[in-house]
Amino acid sequence: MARILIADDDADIRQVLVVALVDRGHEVAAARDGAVAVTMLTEGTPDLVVLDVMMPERDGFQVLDELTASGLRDLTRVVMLTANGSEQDASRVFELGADAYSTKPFDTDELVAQIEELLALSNEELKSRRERELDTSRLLSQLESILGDG
Amino acid sequence: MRVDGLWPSATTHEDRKDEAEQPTGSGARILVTDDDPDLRALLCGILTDEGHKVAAVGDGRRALDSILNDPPDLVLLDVMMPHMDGFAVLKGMAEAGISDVKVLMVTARSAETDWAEGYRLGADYYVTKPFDPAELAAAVATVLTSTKGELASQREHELDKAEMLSQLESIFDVG
Repeated sequence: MARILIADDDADIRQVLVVALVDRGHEVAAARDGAVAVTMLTEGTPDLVVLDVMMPERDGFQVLDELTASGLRDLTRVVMLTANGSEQDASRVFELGADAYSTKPFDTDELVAQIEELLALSNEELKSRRERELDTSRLLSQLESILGDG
Repeated sequence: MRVDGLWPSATTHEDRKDEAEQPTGSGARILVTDDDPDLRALLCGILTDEGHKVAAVGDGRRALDSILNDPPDLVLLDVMMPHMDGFAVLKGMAEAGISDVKVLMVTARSAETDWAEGYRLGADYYVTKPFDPAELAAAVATVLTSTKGELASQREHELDKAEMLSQLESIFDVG
């Protein structure tokens, strides 16, 4: 059983994820905007947060920044939810310190599996995984700029 | 009525301007027990929207295990459940000496005496099915923001009334 926060301004997405994760035996809370998410993250330090990028008050990246600034980043695993078609967001998530991302619209079962996989990793595994993802995303952005120039 | 819960700023944040009403007792850890998956989903949706942290189980045995292993602030307890009904869960809690977990019984409208039995076994409050979301949220807020003592005196009062009613009924039946 893990403690999970769902941060999304879309009530339907909150509901779907809350229900799916509760049915898997997790304890779940939800935040409807970035400001509430920051508060819940810093006061409750859940094991994992599903963080929507586009939210009122603070976007997902600002929430992640504040979590890092408060020194609590390592206590919570972060899955970003990015909008379909925003390739920029997808490449930024690892640069900005997220552990994983999923693109909307997502398959609920797949996202739940991804969340549980992330929760099962040790801190060491998580760190090396994040470094690998970061390496890959840097390589991709280098390739893009080379191709873009040519 | 506003009381700071375990996660107080979910209620105090000044940016929640779209909220007509501030939730009370927000941020509590609540265990939802119901064998109906749709009702579990509904309850979890209402409670997380109020800023609470929820977990859920579908039968009484798992409910009692969960309460004993990791006591929440509040249990929403269905009466009719497989393996172990809500009354058996209350008895199990009493036997284990758990007295600081609040219990809100969720009973079927057809079983009007269930709440009295629940009260005798230590439940703090009850809501009958079907309920509307606002009614449920209000009941949860009442339980979370009341002390065990306040809830107990309210419960005594309700039990007294039930006792008087049943005496009246028996008098009229005889007559």
